[in-house]
Amino acid sequence: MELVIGGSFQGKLEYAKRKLQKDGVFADETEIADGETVKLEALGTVKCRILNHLHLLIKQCVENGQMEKIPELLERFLADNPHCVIICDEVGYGVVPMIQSERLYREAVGRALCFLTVRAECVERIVGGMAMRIK
Amino acid sequence: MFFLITGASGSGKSEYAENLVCKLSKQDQITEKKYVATMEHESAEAQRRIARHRALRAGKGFKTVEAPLGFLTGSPEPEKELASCGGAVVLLECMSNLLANLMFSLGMDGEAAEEEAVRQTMRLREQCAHLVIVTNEIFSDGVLYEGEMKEYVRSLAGVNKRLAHLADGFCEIVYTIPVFLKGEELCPY
Repeated sequence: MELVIGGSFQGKLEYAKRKLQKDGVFADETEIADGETVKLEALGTVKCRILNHLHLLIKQCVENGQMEKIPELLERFLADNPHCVIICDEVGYGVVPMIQSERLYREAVGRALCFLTVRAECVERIVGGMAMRIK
Repeated sequence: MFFLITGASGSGKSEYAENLVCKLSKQDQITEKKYVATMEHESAEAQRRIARHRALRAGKGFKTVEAPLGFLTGSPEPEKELASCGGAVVLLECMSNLLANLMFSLGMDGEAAEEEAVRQTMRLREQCAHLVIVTNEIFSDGVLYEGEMKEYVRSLAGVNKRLAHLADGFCEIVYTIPVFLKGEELCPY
């Protein structure tokens, strides 16, 4: 699994697609799962090359009070999709929010990324469309 | 050695800093390890965070010093606490809480709090064998703060810049991965 992180609108998805196309392992948009639309309970059955917007999936978990389940859900997803690229926004670089659910969300995204960096073969951070490999 | 460790919320910077302290103490055979805790612990959420940090530190041999205002310059008790750090490997966590407490509990303005935080750090650095400080990257949320919040953010940025300049090593922890800005070759971990 490869992990692609960075701020929003930095070209993370474009980068991931380009990279997979170059390797000849990406055909079309049907191979992208989107954290905005994938239902949490379906994560264990999703098959994809790219999982985009992981932070939005984490947000669903936090909103449904299922934060503790995140590692288990990710583990199941990785077992079915060992060669995927996971894309996630970095959201923890601000003043601690006043609203508790926002604090929990930021922290949960951070912890999920810690869980994934350890398991990833490669971690890249995208700034202005360019990748910096940090693992 | 003095290392400054920064990172986002939930990035794993605390765990990295603890392991760095353990490595430094082992490398130089210094048994005394101090944890200077600056978080106020009134709210239930703060209690949970503290419990989580305690569990992370368990078994690593840290002695905890509760110091929400750090070692406030010129106050007798903090001076004694500071002296007790002599020769130890010290982990101070975290600078963002210390600065917030100086400003919002003690009522210092941003500039005075920044000066105090840097002054304290330098005195602590002189006392102990090695110092590791955890700070916080809070500067990229795109929010335009006003008033004392703006002052706080600017002061923390000021402290970070000055400490980074003074530190032997400075790195950002990116979800457990250390990305060094300075002094990687000095880091034993």
